[in-house]
Amino acid sequence: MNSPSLPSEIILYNILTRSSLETIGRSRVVCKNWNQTTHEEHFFQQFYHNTKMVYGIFTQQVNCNKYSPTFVSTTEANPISQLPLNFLPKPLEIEAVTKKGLLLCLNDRYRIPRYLVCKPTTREWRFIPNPKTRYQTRAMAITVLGSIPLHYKILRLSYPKLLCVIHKSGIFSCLQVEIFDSRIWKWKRLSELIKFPHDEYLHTMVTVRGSFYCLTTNNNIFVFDFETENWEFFSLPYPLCELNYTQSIMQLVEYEGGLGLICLVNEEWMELWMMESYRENTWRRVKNLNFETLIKQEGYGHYASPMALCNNDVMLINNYMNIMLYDFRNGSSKPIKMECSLRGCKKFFKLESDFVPINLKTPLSRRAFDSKSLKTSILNFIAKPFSGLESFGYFIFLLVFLINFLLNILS
Amino acid sequence: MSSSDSERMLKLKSSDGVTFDIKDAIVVTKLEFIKNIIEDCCGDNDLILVPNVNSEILAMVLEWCKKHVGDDIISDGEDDEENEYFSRKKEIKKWDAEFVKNLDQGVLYHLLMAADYLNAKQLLDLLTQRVADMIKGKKSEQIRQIFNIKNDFTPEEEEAIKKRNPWAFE
Repeated sequence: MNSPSLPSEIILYNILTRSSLETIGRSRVVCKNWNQTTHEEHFFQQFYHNTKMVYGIFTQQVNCNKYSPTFVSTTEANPISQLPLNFLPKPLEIEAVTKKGLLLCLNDRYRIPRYLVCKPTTREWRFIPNPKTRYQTRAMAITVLGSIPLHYKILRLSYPKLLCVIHKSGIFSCLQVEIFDSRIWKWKRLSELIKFPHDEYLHTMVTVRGSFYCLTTNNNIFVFDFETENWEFFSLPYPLCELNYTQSIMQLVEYEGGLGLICLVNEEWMELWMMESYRENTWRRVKNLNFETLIKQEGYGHYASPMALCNNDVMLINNYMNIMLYDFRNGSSKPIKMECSLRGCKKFFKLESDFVPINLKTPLSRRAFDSKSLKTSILNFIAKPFSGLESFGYFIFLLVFLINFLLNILS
Repeated sequence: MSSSDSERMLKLKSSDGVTFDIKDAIVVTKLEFIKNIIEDCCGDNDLILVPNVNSEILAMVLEWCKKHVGDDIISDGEDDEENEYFSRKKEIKKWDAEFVKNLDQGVLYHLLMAADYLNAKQLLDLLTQRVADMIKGKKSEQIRQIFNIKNDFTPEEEEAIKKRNPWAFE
């Protein structure tokens, strides 16, 4: 029997919504209709319902200098609304998140910083070697370059010893670049420092298309390509490059898998632009809405600001105490149900994840048994299985033993 | 009507003129399309036309329906009945897996269209999950061929989209 052509509604809303994120990614190049539909809210609601995936945000509250990340689901379709991170060592601070549901976290116990990667849905996690932690971190990003086997890279921008450089053309601030590659299980510091004018600062950041994008205060964009490990600066085209085009709020977001920008124009209109061509640096405005009217509505506070996009149709708005879901299709807003208030939370991490286990184990051949990693391994071994007080006691015991041993040798 | 539904005789006629006698109307409760016709129409004329589905496919649909009669009856809470319910559910699941395993693509698609037309949600879920499993791991060009979709992207546009979903293209 020859196959009929299935109607696209069945393929999109019944079949693709039962597949995986990888299949959906691949199906986006099949045709324009599929690319469009697989970025819409209607499609995603069905997808999350059918596949029981998790989609939401990690908020990171700061309390007495301690971070406490909490997960909040942004979709009603799935029953999972909690993703506790209590299986990880405390204290914990989230640094970055990837598309595959991987978190990069910093565990700062006894002032010994250790970085780890984890997948909250499957509770898999692993410590990774440390970068040069004596330099202060400015920004971090992580991206997945391959899934079988898992291959990811981490970018770390930090302040070098030489904080600024004076040239004929002016004073420049410097940032150093370190990259961690999970395939070689090592950090690598790039010899060239990033230099930009001293009065220009890094502002909003997002990781899309296998690259890290950061908007500066002078409306330039810094981009770091994870694959080639090269970076460059380029300026936004007209009218976005004009510093007075937007009074406030410029937020880089992910839109349809690519780079998007949300800005507030004349304190009234919110515009969403997307980068159409990366080679030619052309942008197109795709949406606008009267933000001033919106925040005057019930449920909104004066300090509401756009955060990120869930998909083509739904935007997340930081409403200071809570998060609102704004639907472009009908202009409706609703608050996300949250366990605790959002008060003053500055950092948010969007997470979309399945429950498929990934292999975070490092191949033995990749582990470099140098003294530094040995020291970290010993610390990991001591601290990991025990709770706070016990491991502290163990530490004291070891210290006493070592002192005793040394005294015996000297006497 | 004074007589209960379960005693009615039904006749279904496929697109190629074959008539199927159904002794027990409970068999077709999973087919919402037919169920609605039965409920709306109180006459003695119990011949229902199914013009979009041919006899081979309709036979398979009815076979599936017969197997799934009463599969959602939940027990009253007694342990024995519950055990029976779960083991029957497991058996039906196994049967479903066998049912879809050896279907060729043409038959699978016709069954899918029939399930959609007859509004048989459970059957549609089963078949669409099967197709979703079939396209897992396939490349974009293969997906296009399987569903017979025309590529309307230019090579540059296609490259741009691949760049936006790097984790899907290794």
